[in-house]
Amino acid sequence: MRRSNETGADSEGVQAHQTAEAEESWISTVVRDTRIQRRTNRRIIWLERIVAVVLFLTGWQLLNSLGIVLPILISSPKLIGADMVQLFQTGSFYSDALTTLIEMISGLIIGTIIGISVGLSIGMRKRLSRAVQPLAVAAHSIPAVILAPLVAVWFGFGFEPKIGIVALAVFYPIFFNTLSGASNIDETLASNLKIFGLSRRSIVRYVYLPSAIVWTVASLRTAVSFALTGAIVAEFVGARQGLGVAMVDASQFLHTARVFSILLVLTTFGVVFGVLVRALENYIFRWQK
Amino acid sequence: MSIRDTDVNGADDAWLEQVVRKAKHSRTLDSWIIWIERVAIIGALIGGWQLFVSAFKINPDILSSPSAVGSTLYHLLQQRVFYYDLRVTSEEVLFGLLLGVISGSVIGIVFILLPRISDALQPLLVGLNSMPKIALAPLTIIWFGLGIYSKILLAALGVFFIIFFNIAAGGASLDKAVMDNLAIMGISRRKIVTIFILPSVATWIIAALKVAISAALIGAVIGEYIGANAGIGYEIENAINSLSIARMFTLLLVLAIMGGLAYALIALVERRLLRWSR
Repeated sequence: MRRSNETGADSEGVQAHQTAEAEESWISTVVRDTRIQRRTNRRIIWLERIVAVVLFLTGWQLLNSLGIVLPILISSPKLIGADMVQLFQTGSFYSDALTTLIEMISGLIIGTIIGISVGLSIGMRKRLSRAVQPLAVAAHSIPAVILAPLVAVWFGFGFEPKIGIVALAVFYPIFFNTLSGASNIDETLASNLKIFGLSRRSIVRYVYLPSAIVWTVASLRTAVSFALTGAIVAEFVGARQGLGVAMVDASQFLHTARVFSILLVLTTFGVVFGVLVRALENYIFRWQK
Repeated sequence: MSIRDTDVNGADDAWLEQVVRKAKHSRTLDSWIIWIERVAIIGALIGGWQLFVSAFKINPDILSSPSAVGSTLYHLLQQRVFYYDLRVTSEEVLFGLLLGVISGSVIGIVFILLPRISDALQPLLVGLNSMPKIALAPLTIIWFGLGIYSKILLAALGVFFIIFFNIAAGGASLDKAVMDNLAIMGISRRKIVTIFILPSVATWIIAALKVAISAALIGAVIGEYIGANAGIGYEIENAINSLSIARMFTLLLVLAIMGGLAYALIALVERRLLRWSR
């Protein structure tokens, strides 16, 4: 294609014109063909995907129906489906789900706010941030959810400790990323603005905050998954209400289908929050496109 | 003219040397100060905790204190059951990590080699990835009981997903041009796998280990919180139920040290193995 273009440019008008036209129609044919092919390919992939899901569910069901594995161990799609219907008709499910959701969301908000403010206020002081950073890395090696009992002891077994644990789990990734973002600002820009006589407040507003926010948002996806894990672990460790409690209760009665149903609900939470975070990312980074 | 030139140069050199020496000096001084600051921060945290507890006469059943934790740790280190618990939890973390890394790598590599199958299984995998893995804890206990195996499985599950998805994400970014070129050069598919794909996979696995060790620790300890008959997490549950808060703090400290050591070890291994990539 490139060669014919070169000859087209070199030789006389008419011939070149013709070559170019022929070339164009050839290209458009190819483009159309690949487009059609791609579309059918995509259709085949989706077909395969549906087949895979159906196979997975049938295989699972067969393991039970043929008596290969006890239903008490792995349950079955049929049992789980039936249990889901039952679950959605019990009132306690909604209060449990609401409890878990509220724990997650309020913990997420509190942890994010504290994480951003502590991260910013340390990150803006160069010396302090250099001293703190290795300590922060060391603290990172200790998973926050493991400290769940600590928070439970402090705040009791009610509603607040769960929020405390979620906030603790969320705090870390947000704090660490905000700290890195605030200490990675454009030094020249900050000093120039200072020379221009801008107040410290507006330097924070226009230099530190935008730089840190990019890093903070990048850690939001991790934070959301930590929030879900935190809420569940908090309820495992000690609570009266919530999906985690319902799950442990069901497992103690060997009600495996119920355990799977709740697992499915929690997974749905994970998916929905993942989609929300992606939407937020797209909105905040829309200027990049 | 020439004399003046050398003069200026000479002066310049001397001046430069002085500046460099000063900068070096201030840099070593700087790093010393930063280290002192770090120690001071930790010292202030611990001292503040102790002071807060003693000054306000806080109920030791709520906040404990560094001195109480210290003396509990001293007693703990003399008990044989503590070493048994330590061994149980370490084994759970270690075997969980091994099992998860091996299974995750094998299945990850199979998925890279069979892109068609991995494409078809995509929706199932995305669903699994959004699932909070720790929520599998009650299931593992139904399957394997209160012993060590349910914790190994829980730790392994957490590790598995991290390793597997890291390999899958890496596989999507494999440079197709390199593979095509290797194929054009007449190199067999098997050879391409051993000289190009497997080394890449190895780097992704190593890069994921830091997150994986943390997942293994979470799996083992949370598993012990929910139901166990030995291990540090089990002892923490017991300490809470008997309201021995100093003991709980001490055991959490032990867990933190375990986590920190494992993390440092992995970081060292990573730096060693990935040295060439820098």
